[in-house]
Amino acid sequence: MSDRYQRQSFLGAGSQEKIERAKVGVVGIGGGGSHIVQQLAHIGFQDYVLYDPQTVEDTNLNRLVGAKVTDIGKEKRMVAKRLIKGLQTKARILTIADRWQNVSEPLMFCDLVFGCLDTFQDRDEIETFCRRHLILYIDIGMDIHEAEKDPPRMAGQVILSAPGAPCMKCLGFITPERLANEAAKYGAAGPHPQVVWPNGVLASSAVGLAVNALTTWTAKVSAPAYLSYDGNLGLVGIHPKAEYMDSTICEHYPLGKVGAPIFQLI
Amino acid sequence: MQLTLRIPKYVLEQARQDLARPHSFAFERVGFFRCRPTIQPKLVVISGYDAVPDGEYMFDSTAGACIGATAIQSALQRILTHGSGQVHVHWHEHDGPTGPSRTDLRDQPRLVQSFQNVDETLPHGIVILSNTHAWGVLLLPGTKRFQEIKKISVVSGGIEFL
Amino acid sequence: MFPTDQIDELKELYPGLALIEEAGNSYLLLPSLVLPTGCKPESVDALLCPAGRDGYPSRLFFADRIQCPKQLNWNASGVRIAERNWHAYSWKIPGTSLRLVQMVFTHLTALQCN
Repeated sequence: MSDRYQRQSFLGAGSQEKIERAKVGVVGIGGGGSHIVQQLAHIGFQDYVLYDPQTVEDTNLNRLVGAKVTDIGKEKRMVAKRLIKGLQTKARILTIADRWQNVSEPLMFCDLVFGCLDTFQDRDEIETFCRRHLILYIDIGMDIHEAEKDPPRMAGQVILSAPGAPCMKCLGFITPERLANEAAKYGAAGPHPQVVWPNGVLASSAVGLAVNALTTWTAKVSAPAYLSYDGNLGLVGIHPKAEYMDSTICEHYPLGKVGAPIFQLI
Repeated sequence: MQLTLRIPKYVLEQARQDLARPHSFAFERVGFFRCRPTIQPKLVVISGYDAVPDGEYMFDSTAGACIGATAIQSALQRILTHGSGQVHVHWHEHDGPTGPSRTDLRDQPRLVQSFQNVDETLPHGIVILSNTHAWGVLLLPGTKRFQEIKKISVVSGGIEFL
Repeated sequence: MFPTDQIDELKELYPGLALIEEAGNSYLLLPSLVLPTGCKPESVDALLCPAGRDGYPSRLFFADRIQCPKQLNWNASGVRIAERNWHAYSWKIPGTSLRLVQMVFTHLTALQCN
């Protein structure tokens, strides 16, 4: 192990090799994704697939990790790539300026995928994709609800979704009602409130789950993992749904249906 | 892209438990992974495991394990019934990297080719497990040459590279 | 899952009719569904979700976004189902009383110009 990683040798023998061997996908390199990318680079990940079609705007600079004022107008992917290369000069980085649904092949070969997406629909789709291809999926997201008389409520989640284990639907995070409400509001949603520190909390938790999944340094790997974040209190804890699951098997993504879709002629 | 095989951990554990069981005369056991293609030929995923029942082994002093026609027919039938390829799997009882023996290379490729004759749109192959590693080759749809699997990973809440 | 007579009825029109299940939803693939006059393309693969999703009692997805003289709200664009991207316009039709073939044609009325 190189001297650089001496302080993380507690992750166990062979841990650095596992980290360097893993191919990680990050879908969305905005507020949350940029934190994730930064941490992955520090830890030593070498193989990245990054999706984001957007360019940096002034309104991103309150939270886009690695971005500078001179980056306004440049692609967010470029900022992420520069950040990674600044720490990992030999990293293999594929950046894609499109939705993953339009260029899905590179994502297929990722061992784990971080989803930093805005909508339940997007989360549903990417989880389905990851389940089909036996990819570990880690989702992060936050929201700030502004109320008329009360202070805003800040909340977020980190969910690890693993093949065979309960999915985001089983956990009650993605529901038909949420998908329906989202479809009904299509086009009407304005920019969501966003700020840097909750993204950092959530991204750090997500990266922690990922490193544990690869190295098993805690000697305990559980799936699903569902962490909920109360931004007003500054607390991250296990969501009650994860603690009191009725079943440990996912009914939405049976393992017998992995791989290419099977269209049954009828 | 390198040829990649992913196995759900509980399926691998099922296989290991089965392959470790003693048999009355066979030195080794064999089994079959069910495998599914994806829309990218170089990524193949395992969807299940089928054991070979005790009675379907044949005595053969030249091989650690020899399965009979019934076992082979069952594997061929699974291709048609489940729309999944068949990957012949057995276990070399040691730590560290592993690979095919001479006997493995003598018999198994022909078996896999017969799988391809049943359905060439599906991948079929051979995987050999050691206690800590795995080696494998696949016959991909539309190809006639076995290709070595470059990355075998086991997926659950964690990820393990074999 | 679906009444046999309704499936047979649909198969008469779409011989390549196929079923796919994904993430708890069932879809019927209608290959080369012929679209109303004036639409481009003239035919397209379509996916019918008879049991509904996204708050719609049923939904018809198309493999391409269709150009037609009518202004439609394409509120599902590039939705990933069964490893392909699909598009759908917002069009709510009555839920459970229609036969499958009626569902398809009722969805298509949104594209009709007259």
